[in-house]
Amino acid sequence: MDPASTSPTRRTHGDDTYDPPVETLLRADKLTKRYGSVIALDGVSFEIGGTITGLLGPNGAGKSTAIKLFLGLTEPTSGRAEVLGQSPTQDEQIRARLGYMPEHDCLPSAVNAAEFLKHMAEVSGLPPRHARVRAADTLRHVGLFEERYRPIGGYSTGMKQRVKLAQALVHDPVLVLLDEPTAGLDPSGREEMLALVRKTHSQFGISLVMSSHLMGDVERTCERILVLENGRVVQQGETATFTEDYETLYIEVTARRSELMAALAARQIDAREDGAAVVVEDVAGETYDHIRDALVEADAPLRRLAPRRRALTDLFRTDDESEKPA
Amino acid sequence: MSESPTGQVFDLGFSRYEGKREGRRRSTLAVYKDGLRTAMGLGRGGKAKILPWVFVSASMIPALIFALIAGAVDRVAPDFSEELDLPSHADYYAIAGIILFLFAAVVGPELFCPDRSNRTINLYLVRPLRPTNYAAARWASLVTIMTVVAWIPQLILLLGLTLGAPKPGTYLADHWTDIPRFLLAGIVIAVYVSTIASLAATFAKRRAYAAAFLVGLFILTAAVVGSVGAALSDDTTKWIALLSVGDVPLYVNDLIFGEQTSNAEEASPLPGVILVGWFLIVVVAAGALVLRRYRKLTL
Amino acid sequence: MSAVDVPSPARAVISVDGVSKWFGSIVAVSEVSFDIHPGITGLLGPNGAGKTTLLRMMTGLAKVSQGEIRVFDEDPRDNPDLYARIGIMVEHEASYDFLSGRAFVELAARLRQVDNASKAAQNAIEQVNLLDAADRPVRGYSRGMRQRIRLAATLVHEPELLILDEPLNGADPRQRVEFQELLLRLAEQGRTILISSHILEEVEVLASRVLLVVNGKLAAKGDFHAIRRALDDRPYHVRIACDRPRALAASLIGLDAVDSVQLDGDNDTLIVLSSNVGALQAALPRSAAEISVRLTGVQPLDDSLESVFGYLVER
Repeated sequence: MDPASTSPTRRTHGDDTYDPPVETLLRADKLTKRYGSVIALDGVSFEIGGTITGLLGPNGAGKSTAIKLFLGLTEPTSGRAEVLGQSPTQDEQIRARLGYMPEHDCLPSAVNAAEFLKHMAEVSGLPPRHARVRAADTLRHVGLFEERYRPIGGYSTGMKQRVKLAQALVHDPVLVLLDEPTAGLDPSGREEMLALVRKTHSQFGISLVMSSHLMGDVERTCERILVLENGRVVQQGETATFTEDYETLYIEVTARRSELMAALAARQIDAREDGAAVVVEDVAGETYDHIRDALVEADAPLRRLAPRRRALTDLFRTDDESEKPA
Repeated sequence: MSESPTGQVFDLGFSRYEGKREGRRRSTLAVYKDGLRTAMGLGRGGKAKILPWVFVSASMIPALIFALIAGAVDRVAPDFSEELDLPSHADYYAIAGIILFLFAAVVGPELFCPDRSNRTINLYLVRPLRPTNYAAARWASLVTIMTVVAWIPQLILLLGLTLGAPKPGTYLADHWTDIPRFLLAGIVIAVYVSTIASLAATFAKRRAYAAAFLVGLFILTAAVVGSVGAALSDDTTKWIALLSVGDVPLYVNDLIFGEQTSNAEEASPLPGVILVGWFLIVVVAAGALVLRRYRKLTL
Repeated sequence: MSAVDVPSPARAVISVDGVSKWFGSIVAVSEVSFDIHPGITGLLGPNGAGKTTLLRMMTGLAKVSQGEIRVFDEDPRDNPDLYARIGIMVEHEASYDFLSGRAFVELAARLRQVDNASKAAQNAIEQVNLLDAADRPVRGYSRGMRQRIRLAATLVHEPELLILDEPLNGADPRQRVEFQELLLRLAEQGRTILISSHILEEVEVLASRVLLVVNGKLAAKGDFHAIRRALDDRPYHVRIACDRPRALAASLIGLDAVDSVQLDGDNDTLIVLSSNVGALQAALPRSAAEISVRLTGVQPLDDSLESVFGYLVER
């Protein structure tokens, strides 16, 4: 039952094969961190690879502790934290291959983005000439143009978030750790930031670990998730398995619902009403055709035909609202 | 034979960085250079330049005045100059040291406090350098600036005294030993004020608190030593005088020049070893505290 | 979980009539009019659109430059008695870190002259599920806990009207779910809740009505499906999954209701653009039946609050 052991992760459904990520970038091996009497991480083991991984969990679950351990900012109490096979506390140079985008404000206000980014690139070890060029390129990639010559203090939240992301990317890291990257952004800003996150992986080839409380963000960007709670791993695997379809079909029509119910009953299809939809269980093969024909017979305009999807938020529901699979 | 026209599309996408990654030395150097720019307000708008450059100007004024006086007196009344006890290189820091102290008190916190209060320090902590490297680099930026600001007025004074002398060449030949002395004294006082200011800035939450604390410390310790010293015997007083924060480097200055400057006198009866040793203890202890605090920082 | 719509009484809880607010030459809010009734209403808009200014005027913290605002049919300005009926939770609030959570909520209760403040505080703390941490100082709370204790302080006097500005900042997923359930319960009790948030997928679940403010003006109000229908210059995008996409595509393109059909090779689906989505909905099953195509999925792509928001902000 111990999810922290090295045996395959527990899944709530689906097949039980666990395939670890292809190239392991971060590895935790029976990693424990204790602060006095508080156990922040309790013997966790997991691997994070070349993809976008969502790091989830309630406040106090151990996510920030894990991040600090991988960044080499603190020593494990026991066990190992490895970055590219090395211990980050033994050699701080491994940090040159990582990037970090904090959640909170962390930018100076008097400097402009171009100078700040060049400076950060140099602090990451790049010679000045290269630092300047990479700073300019990175600002272009995150979408900051003329603004880059104005002091950061005058930037909007969206622009500041881009600068924060840029400083995490400028030195071409292998993996970037993001902490709530969409915090404070309005819907358009949020969508732009998530698009940047996806672009960072798909176009720049950089892997990411995103710690977030917004399951919508995670579902839209992360290929894998790792869920911590009370210092232990409680779930991990591909996002797709946690957002799989149930085998229940939801049919939404804009009119003549009762005629539809009758037409379905006439075809021996068991249906019930649930809120705005008509629900049919265990739909497969020919049943789809019968449903289509029932719709034609009832002359009911079809708005939506979709299986009920599991959402990541279901992982956190304590009541029995989340359906169990058939 | 006609060739079809060709065109090329260039990939402007993100490129991998294949160049050198230079390690802690580059990182530390970058922090040092940035420290110089931050302290002097370069690349940070007009407002940031006001204080540092006002201080730079202020530090030169006494030297300019003395240089002018020295030159004028020698021209106008050459006989007079022997009797007039003009300020020399040895006296300079006793008089102008306060400006250096204030400069460090105001500019030093600028190098340490903002990065912590706006949490930019987090971006350094996750980079390939140690927090002690960062602190040392910032300290070095401050020392560099303080040294330059300590030396320039002395150089101006030298120029003034040399050109003002009836025979500049003879003057230089007679007084050349002043040069290495004031350079060393300049470093001594620069290192001292920088380290004390760094210490205050490391523990203060805001720049203003650090500056206020430093100024207060300077004045308070001088006052305490003054009043207590008056009440006690000279033997005890000379030890207590070591606690006057502003005077510590001046005793070393006096040792370098081999003469006593008017301000710092209570502790001068103490052997040179003690005076230099105390200076070193204070500087090293302060520096160690700064490094220790930074070593413990985390996100 | 669907949003609750309680039948509205004759008089609105909040009525905003032709309200404008300017600061010198900057017009923060421009001629905005709407009514708010019991139930949950979402206040949305890009950063800087004027939402905060509107909220400040509704709570009497800022003066209206033009127009009139009435809350419970009274002028909220300089009206401290009105606060007994309103609970307000805004972004940057000082809290008394050294107090225990319980003491903080009790203080809020006493400030609003609640009888039996300790019992009211106990209830409020139970509602936000913080009983076990209630006697610890707020200083030691995590972000999510601070938000919850502030919510308790907002609820302690059982206000009829709740005004919440990004109340879920820093809350983890479980807390978010619990909070949503709490708000829905409160709405069922007949309270009026105005919530301003950027997390549209959550507002979609909670709010039966939305107000969308863009550049100081009210760009849309009401049920967002209805708003979507009103945006008739925007064709609807519908994704259709079936066993023979190309055949269905050929058939659908013949319909008047269909503007264009796109084949999505990645997942073997069609994306249909339609300016008359009602006609498309009616014709779809028939078109599929006529050529014996098996329909396995129909999904409207831009009928979400997020899409509606995007369209309205762009305009």
